[in-house]
Amino acid sequence: MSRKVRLTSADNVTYEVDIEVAEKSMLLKNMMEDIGDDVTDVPVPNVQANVLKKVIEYCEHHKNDPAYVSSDEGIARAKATEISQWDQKFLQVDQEMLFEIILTANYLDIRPLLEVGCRTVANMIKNKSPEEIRKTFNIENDFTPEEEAQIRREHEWAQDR
Amino acid sequence: MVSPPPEVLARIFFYLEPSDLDTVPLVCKSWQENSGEKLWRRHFAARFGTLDVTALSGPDFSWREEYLIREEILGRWTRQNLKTVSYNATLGTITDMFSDLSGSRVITFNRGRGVGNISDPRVGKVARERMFAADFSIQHRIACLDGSRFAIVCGFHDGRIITMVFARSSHLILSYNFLQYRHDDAVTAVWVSKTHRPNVSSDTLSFVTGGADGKVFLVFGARTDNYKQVDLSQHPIDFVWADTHSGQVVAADSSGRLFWLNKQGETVASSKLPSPLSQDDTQLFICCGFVIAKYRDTIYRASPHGYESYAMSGEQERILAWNFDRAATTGPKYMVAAVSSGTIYCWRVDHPVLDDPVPLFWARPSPLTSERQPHITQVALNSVVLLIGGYNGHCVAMDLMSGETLRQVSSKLSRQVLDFRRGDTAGRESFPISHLQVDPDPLQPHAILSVKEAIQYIDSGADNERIKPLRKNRKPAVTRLAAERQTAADIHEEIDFNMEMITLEDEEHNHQTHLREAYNMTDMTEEEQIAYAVLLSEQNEDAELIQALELSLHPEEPPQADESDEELREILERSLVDQ
Repeated sequence: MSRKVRLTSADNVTYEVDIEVAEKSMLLKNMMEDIGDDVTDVPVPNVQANVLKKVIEYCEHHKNDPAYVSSDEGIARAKATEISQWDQKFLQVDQEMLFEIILTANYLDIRPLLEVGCRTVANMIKNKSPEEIRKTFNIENDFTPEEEAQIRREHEWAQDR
Repeated sequence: MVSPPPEVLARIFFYLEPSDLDTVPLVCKSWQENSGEKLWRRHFAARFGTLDVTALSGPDFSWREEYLIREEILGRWTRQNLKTVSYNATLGTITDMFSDLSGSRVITFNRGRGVGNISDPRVGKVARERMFAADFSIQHRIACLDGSRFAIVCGFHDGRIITMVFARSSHLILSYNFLQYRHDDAVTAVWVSKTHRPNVSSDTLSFVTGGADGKVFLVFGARTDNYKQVDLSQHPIDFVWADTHSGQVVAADSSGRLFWLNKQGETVASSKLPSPLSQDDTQLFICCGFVIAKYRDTIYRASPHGYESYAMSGEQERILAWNFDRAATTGPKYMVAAVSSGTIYCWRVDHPVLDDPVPLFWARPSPLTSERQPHITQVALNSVVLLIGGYNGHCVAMDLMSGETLRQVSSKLSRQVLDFRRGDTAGRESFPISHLQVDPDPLQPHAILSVKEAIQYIDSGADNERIKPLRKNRKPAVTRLAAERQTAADIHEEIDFNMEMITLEDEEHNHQTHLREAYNMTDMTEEEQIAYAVLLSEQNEDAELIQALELSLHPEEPPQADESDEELREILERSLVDQ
């Protein structure tokens, strides 16, 4: 029977998980190591319960994966491989939740989740025009018309290649 | 949208393909701030494993351009429809090959027979066999030679030196001359400028010779009277090399002493390598201002301040092949050595300090290594690709930056092309690549290799461009194949022929000058001029005139149909007793 820890979200919802699951987060792992063996309660401020639940779900599923090593080269390699089916399905959530998951993965330092989230967003950008991208992500165009024309000119030259 | 922090945004963009990267900055300000050059730079580093590269994008350097250009060139090297042209030089074994792939000219030479030819690798045509006066090679023996697209210079055992100067744009030899001076003993080292044509200007160094008498001659132009003689050493001069850009000349004697000379022939510096050199085991060149010398299985980098040696991992490594980036540009220069354990090492020659361990760019197992032995005989590189050629006629292209294997660019040449007739090769399945050269300009993905007497030209830049048909009206004269049969009368006839050609050449030159002036192209660079001249020579209507001239000189030779001509040539070749 493995050790359990209890994670408490910003809005005071507590989830009990195996310590291996919690240790998928480098932030929590380091924190628990600093505090000592007998830690059982870990607050996770800044993260809402619904997001924390999703992140725990991910960590549960991936708890037996080998330790993750991140590098630019590793990222280049990752590009060539498909996102696993489970991960794809896991990230089929509304856009707000997707970004919440990515930000939480970034905050909790869960590298594999951060990467898979970023790849999912990158896939949403692919083969789109700037206008389509703004629409997809509901981004306001904060360029003045002059600025936009200027940037367009810079890249027009490039697109002519 | 929740605005992600910059590091997350950058991470998202990093997963985009380069084709999407140009859209990102147009979306909004925060996206623009986290994309652009920074992102391209990161993509470049991840793709090629380094940022320490020779810039290819010209004066307006950008990582985006660097990435795309490099990708495109590598893509060319890896694509399927590689154009190759294979042909037989019909010289017997090629002992020397000098190529200018951008200028579409390859000069091959057989030292033993004193025979050479000039060909256009794009069409694979043997343009013209040339008997370089058989008695020179048989009686005096060529001791050493060097060449370029412009000239070949041979040094003989009796100390004499002969120069052969080629026509600018056609496949003709303009002249061959014994120089007015000679060494007192055998000529032991020759260097010929690869960038300057003899005759162009009198203060341009066109070649350098060194002799067993310890003397060095610096020759300017090719009029044979404009030279400087230097009594340099008590020992035979084993190597000479000059760098036309810096004007530096380096000579090495057999004791291992290096001399740096200026154009006046004055010794400006000297240094000593730890071991005596010998012609058989040593090679030497100037790169980035350093003298790089390979003696047996050690590579030294020497300067007037001393020398350092490049370390390799194994104790008993033999160096099978080595080469360097021969581009005339400044910027990082690379050097590659393939060693017997099957590792290929790549170094930055101009790396500021040679620490211990040596700052290796990369070291990788060779793709041509079998279980029994490493197979490498030749390596050639420019600042983008590395080609390695093996014992079995295979040639593999690698990405010079990452060391990744791109593809096999050449396989065994067909037996028909190799056309071995003498029986000593029966039962052998493969033949080593004896010369391998790649265009020093990385934007021109061309390479050429030779296997025994066959030549293969590789053009990975050709789209679906058709290979030009052979021009039937310029078949080489069959009678010229038999070097041994050439008489003094033949040689005189040949000289007369050459004089005619010089006239033709001058006419053509005038024609070109008129054209250039007409198009206001007087300020073209040397390279542009070469390209332009080649273009002109293709449209040259003089081919018929040349043939008519040739026929008048050899009236006994009837015009031959293609096949019978080939047959006749084969019969003649068979009847030849090889040296």
